[in-house]
Amino acid sequence: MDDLTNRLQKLGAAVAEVSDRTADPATLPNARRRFLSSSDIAEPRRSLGPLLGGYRVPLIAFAGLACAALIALFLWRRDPALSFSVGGSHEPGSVGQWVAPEAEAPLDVRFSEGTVVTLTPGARMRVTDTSTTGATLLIERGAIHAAITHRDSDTRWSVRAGPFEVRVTGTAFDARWDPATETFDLSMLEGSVIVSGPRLPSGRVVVAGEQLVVSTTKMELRAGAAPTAAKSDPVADAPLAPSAPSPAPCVSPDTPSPVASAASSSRAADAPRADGSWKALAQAGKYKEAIAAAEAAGFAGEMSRASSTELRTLADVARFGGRPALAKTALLSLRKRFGARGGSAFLLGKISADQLRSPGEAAMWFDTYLQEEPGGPLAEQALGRLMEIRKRDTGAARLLAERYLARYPNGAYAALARSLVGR
Amino acid sequence: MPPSAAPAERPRTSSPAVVRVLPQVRDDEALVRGVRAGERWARAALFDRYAVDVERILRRILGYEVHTDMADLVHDTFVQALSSFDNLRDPGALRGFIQAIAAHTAYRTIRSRKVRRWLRFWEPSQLPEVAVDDVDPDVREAYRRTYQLLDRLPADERVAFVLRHVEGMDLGQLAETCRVSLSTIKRRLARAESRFARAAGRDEVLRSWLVEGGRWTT
Repeated sequence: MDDLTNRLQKLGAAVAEVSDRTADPATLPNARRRFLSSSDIAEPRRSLGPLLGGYRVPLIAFAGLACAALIALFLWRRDPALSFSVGGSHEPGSVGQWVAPEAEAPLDVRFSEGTVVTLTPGARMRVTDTSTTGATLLIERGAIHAAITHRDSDTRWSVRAGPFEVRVTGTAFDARWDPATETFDLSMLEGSVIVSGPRLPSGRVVVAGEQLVVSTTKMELRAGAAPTAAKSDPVADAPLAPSAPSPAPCVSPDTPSPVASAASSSRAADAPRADGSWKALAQAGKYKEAIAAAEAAGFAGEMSRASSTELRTLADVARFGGRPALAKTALLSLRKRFGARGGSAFLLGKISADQLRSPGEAAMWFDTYLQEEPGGPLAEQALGRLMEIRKRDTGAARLLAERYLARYPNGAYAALARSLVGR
Repeated sequence: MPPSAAPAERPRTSSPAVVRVLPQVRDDEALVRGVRAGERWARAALFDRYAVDVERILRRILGYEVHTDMADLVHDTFVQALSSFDNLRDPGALRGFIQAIAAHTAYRTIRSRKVRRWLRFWEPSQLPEVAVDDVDPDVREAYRRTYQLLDRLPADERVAFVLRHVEGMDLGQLAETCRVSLSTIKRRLARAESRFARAAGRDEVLRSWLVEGGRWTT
């Protein structure tokens, strides 16, 4: 092998590494769903032409195509971004501003192409971005009902809640986000969406009639009759890892996604066993009782025997059960024994800030998260929390705010960041 | 349901059932038989077994481009594969067959991109920044510039170059994937390498990857 070939292969290996990091985890689930639900298999959209070399477009046809494309491009570029109004107001809503019902009545947010999002009392939401093909919504708290208008195949809507993201084309669904328990609840009424986030690294297709309840600690998918439920395709929509126990193992003739089956089997092997009492109580969502049971059994001993997943569950049990110091101990053990990074640092920051009232330590942990997972799903929140903690330190706060606005100009903390930059 | 109604009023499922599907292992021969017989499980198994390869080949040949819907291209590849199954004589060659169709899909996409760029006056030099944060900035820049140069190569040479140097195929696999003879693929690859090396020599970032001792080795 000559020098040039060697060097090209070295460059190629570097290119391959970056390329692999640009892979979108939603690609395969999305393609799989389309492929298995499509009826055009017998008549593909294009025939298999000559391979790699013999393809020629007649000049006249090409010129015609070019003219048509130029006209289409001209028309496309004139298409404005969606606008929206809140409640009965005729004034256009502002991107980035809070939207929340003032009274006990639901509040409608109406978009120019027909989409309506209804906030229930107590909910808070922001429209963080709009484009010609859709918008991005951020649920900060509470429940919304969305009826998204599907105009064409380019329709692109996205709903974010904490670390979870729902990618939508045209559909109707209810979504609820509880920041206290970090639980996202999605009930599909029409169409389908892809949900991604912690425990759903490859994305999960949720179709009409299904309800997905997912948090940073557990995931449950329920299939049942919903008011407008469409027929679900069990092959196209094989579940990732339902947490509720199956009555008996059964082998389906259908083959699940390799990502799904791998995730399923690894999680099944690593899932907390329901034999210990604190584990059973934790699975039932009885966190106060679970942490009491863990202490009764000897917290240190339970920690030393726990697998990484069990240790993480134990930390959550302590966190939700009102014992932040124990949660911190469990997370530190998770980092020390199993080398956990990223999410554990974020949680330590959150516990320090919200429960232990120790802003200095919280800032250190949020900073650690940003160093360990600079592009992670919680990076925006970590940077925002860090900025909030250090807002009295003018110089540091300004730098953090500039960094935040550069990455998340329409993020949940953008207003705070602008106020820090402008003072 | 009217969109303005509150979600809380909507009836919920009273006793939800949990769906669980377990995997089954089948060899390529059974898989090909199943696909030809129109079995639904076979389509699912075909996708699950080869989708990772297909997506990787498409992504590596095409590079990062915000306008490309990769899921659509993966879907297209499998639709083409099913419609061309009659051309598959040896079920043992299924992987190569699928890879060839993925490479052809990428080739076709490159050609249509070039037309689209011409129509929109969009130069390859305006390729978007790569949306990855945890990569050495020098490597990320080398990646971006590599695809800038690849954009200037003819589509068939680009496919050959990437499959050889990024995907790491040997010459036999490469010829099979591009469906040409070994001698043809050697000539095509040599042309691609030569063009790429000349252009990289004028690029301040890529030069450091390919030059040693201040002297070109071509």
